[in-house]
Amino acid sequence: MADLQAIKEAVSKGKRKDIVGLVQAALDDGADPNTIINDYMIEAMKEVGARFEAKKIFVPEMMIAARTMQTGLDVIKPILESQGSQKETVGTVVIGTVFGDLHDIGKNLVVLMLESSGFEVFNIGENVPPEKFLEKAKEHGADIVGLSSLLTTGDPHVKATVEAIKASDLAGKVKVVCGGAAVTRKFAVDQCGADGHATDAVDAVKTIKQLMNLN
Amino acid sequence: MAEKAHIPLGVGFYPDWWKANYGITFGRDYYYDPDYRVEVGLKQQKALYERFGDVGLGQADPQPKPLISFGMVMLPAIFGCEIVFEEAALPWAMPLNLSAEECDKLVKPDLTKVEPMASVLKQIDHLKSKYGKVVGDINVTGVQNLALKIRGDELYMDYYEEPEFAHRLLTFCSECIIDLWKFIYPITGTGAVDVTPMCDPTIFCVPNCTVEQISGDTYEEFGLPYDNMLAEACHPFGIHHCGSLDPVVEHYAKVKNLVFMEAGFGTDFAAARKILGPDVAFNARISPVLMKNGTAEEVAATVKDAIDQGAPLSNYSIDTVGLTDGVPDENVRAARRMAMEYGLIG
Repeated sequence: MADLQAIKEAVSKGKRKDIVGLVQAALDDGADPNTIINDYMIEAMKEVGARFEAKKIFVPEMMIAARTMQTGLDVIKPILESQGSQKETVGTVVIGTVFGDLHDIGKNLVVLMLESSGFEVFNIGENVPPEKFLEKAKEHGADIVGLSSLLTTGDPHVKATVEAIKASDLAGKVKVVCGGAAVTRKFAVDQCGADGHATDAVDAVKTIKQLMNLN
Repeated sequence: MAEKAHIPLGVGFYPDWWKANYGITFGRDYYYDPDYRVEVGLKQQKALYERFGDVGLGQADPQPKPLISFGMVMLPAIFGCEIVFEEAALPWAMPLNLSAEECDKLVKPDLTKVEPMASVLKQIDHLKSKYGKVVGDINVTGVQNLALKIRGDELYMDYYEEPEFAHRLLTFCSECIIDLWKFIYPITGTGAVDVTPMCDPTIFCVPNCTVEQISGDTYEEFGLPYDNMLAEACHPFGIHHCGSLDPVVEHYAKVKNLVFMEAGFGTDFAAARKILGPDVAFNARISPVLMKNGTAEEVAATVKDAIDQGAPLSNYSIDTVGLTDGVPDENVRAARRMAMEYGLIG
């Protein structure tokens, strides 16, 4: 009998060294791969996110939980591919840190949380100019473009990027969400015209799901 | 009648503000050309006086300050991190993301020969010959900051999966930081004041910018032993903490020889002061986001609240740094005036 609760617990507690064996055992016992992902791994990450929001856990705990889930997914992915199916994705996000800003950890946390929530995420790095956000959003067929900015020096670049997307043929097709220590809702949404604002990685997932009517 | 003393409130502008407003740039030249740096220092003081002299900023007739500086990237640069210099930003060290095996092979540098320290030593010779002295701003960085630059985010995985290795790396980083401080302090007589301008510059103050990302328990295991290692080797000791101090302040209270603490916005300043005690000088930070996007009234109210939380005021200061282009001048004045008029001591 597959111990699916153990998989959930391993993700929740970041037991990266245990997850491969647990997932493999579950698959060997005939557990459905998408059930493992959706009902146990993603559920575990929801709990992790809630603990992060409540400041019960911090960046290392969230990172190790997300990476544990990714390690488990690496076991499942070939099974899904051999069955002719793919891991179900709920949406595509292109995300980067705006031009002039080289900070990455907050944005990388958002990437981990989005991937752990079933999104396909294209992390286009740091110091990203508006035209690259546009190019990558088109290339990957993004539903969402995420902008990260830690410093208020990034404000003009957040605004320029949002405006570039809204002025392009992506307008109406792609929604823009901004976050990072320097970015307030008032600035991102009211002044720049972004569709959403997120206060942290967990809020980013919630905001994006709301914008995509996934809740 | 003598003017009553008030708590100090420092203001620091980010390089983009200087570039946008005065054309002053902070690219590679700023860190490698000492004469340019001294010239910039004079221009800055004059500009501040002309613009904000009414609230006590700047100097009408500044004297040359023979400053050495290498941002917060000296040790990362020594270990091979790529340093990105921008005219309108502080230098930034790209993480090396070394494997555990590569980290274990690192050796402590010879500070007299390794770059960019060797270039800085030449600058020191130049400044000393020209001005007879040099003042220091070689920021040693914090232990976890440095370990993250060397190991990358994987350090956080190591805390759980390879704790013995993490301790080895943190010990190594601590030793390098101590070596750098012991090397540079006798030359300059001061520590780094770029990150912590409100700290007495003779204090060994380290920037713990990334401790905000970990829990109090994690700090207790992977931070406190190394801050104590530093504090025992070089003291009196001070800490700059980004963000809220609340999750770790009880653990910081265990740091030996601690005489200065800087807390980011979001901190319960009153609670932190109570835990650390009145003998620890305390600097409360005001958010640069508020300074840029808030109204003068909101800024004044935030400074007033920080003053109200800070008693006893005799060992208390406030500052707001990282002010970027677009910060309204009236917000700077509002902050300064509130400290001058409301933050009276005694």
